[in-house]
Amino acid sequence: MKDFHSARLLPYSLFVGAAAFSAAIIGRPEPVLMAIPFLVVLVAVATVARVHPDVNVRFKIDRDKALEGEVIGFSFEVTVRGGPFTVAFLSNDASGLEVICPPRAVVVSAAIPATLYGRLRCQRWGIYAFGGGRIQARDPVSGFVHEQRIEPACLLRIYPRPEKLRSLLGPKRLRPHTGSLTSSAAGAGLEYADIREWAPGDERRHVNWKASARRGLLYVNLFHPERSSTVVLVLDAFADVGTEDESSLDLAVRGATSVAIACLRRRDRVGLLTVGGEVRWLLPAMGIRQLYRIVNSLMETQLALNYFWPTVDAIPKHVIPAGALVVFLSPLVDRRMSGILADLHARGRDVAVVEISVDELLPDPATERERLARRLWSLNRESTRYEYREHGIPISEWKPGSDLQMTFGELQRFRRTSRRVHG
Amino acid sequence: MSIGVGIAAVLTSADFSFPIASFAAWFAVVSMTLGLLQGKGLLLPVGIGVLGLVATGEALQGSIARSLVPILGAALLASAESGYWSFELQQTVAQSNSVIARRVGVIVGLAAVGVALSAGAAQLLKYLET
Repeated sequence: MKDFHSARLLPYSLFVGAAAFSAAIIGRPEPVLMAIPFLVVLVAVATVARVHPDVNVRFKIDRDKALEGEVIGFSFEVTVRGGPFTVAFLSNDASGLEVICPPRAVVVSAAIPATLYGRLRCQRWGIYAFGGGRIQARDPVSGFVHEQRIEPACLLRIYPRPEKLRSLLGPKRLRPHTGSLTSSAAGAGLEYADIREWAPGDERRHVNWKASARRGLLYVNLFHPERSSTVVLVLDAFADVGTEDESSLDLAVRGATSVAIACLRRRDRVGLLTVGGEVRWLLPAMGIRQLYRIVNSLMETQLALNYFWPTVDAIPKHVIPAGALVVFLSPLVDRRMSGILADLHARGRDVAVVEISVDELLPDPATERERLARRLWSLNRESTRYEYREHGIPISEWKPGSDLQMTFGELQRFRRTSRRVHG
Repeated sequence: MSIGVGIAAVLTSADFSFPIASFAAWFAVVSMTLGLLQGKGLLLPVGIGVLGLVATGEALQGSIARSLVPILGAALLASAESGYWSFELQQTVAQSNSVIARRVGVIVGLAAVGVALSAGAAQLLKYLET
């Protein structure tokens, strides 16, 4: 508890003192008559200053989980013992939260609780301690302010808002489990594939009667079975390029969340591998629980500057199962990530790269030397991209503000084209 | 602010004893305006002080009747209280209607009590002088 007095008490005291002094010197009452109203305020403040408030605060929030951009309501229930006070809450600043409607100051009478309502907008994903700040209680004359510090009362989890993804990259190999991806093999499914002559064991409902009548033999329809796949998302936490508002790691987390949601929706197994200061992973699994695990793990992703140079050998084998589609989300700034990517591709893994474009996140070069350095850097990155494409690794840029669906469309297009070229 | 302008207008419309009084009164108004725009600092109390000084000087010279002095003092107080309240509003969160009504009531009440006491004291002095 900290107490401080109003800034007006000193000028009022000086005014009253000067008036009394001048009245005594000149022997006229006018200066004192002019100062009497100010003296009334000082007396009133001295009277109420003896009352010390005992403020109790109970914090409530509508929910402790939200998506980026959502608005959440919160409230403080305040009780004051010791007389009526004007109570105001001044919230602590949090970089990812914006209090759009701060709670208004209210009058709280003794023993009758009052509630201060406010609203905040979740601006950036992350885990925030909210509810902390300062409670100020002013006496009726506003002579003294009693300030009390409040510790944060809740942990607010803000999940990244996912991008809309209608279709994703098709993996080269599918799992022998039911899913939403159409397999190129023939079997039991919904999508028509071909016809062939009837063989013992074929079901009667699969007989194609029109073809059978035309050819004089029994023919049955073949179908493409619907299968699922395994997708492993690899997040680059070696480097974070950008500003506090938006950085490459922000985009990578948002992109990974979007891909995880889309993959789990089509009943794929999804795993997560974060490579940075340490190698962290979540084994591939299905379902909504896995989605929460992935999102919570993504929100704990932080940049860690170190000289640790992990290779593929640092990644346990079961983290990336055989036949899994490995989607890299990386700004491709750090060479260590490029090394892991090349190693995985060389070992025959199905790899695709979503390159987080950092050109838009960086400030414009100011000097000629900076412009030259930026051009050289861009050329270097372009040559890296060319190298990946030459090796048959699909790579596509994702620019801030652009549609992630277009990036995946480009990856799929590249995969089709490269198959045609390289046989 | 309007109260300050009102006081300055009353002072300038009076029969001035000091030629500089009119200038000082309007200087005080400008100082108060700048102080309010600044949201803190010494300009507001300096403006109030100068306005009070001019009013007292005029009362001493007889340009303003002694019976008007309590009203001018209360008006000065109301002006100062409103100014400091605006400072508080700039430094803290918005206030609910009940808080605003209560604060207005407190300012009016303090000014009324101030006028009453000051006028009472003036009457008492008048009675003692006679």
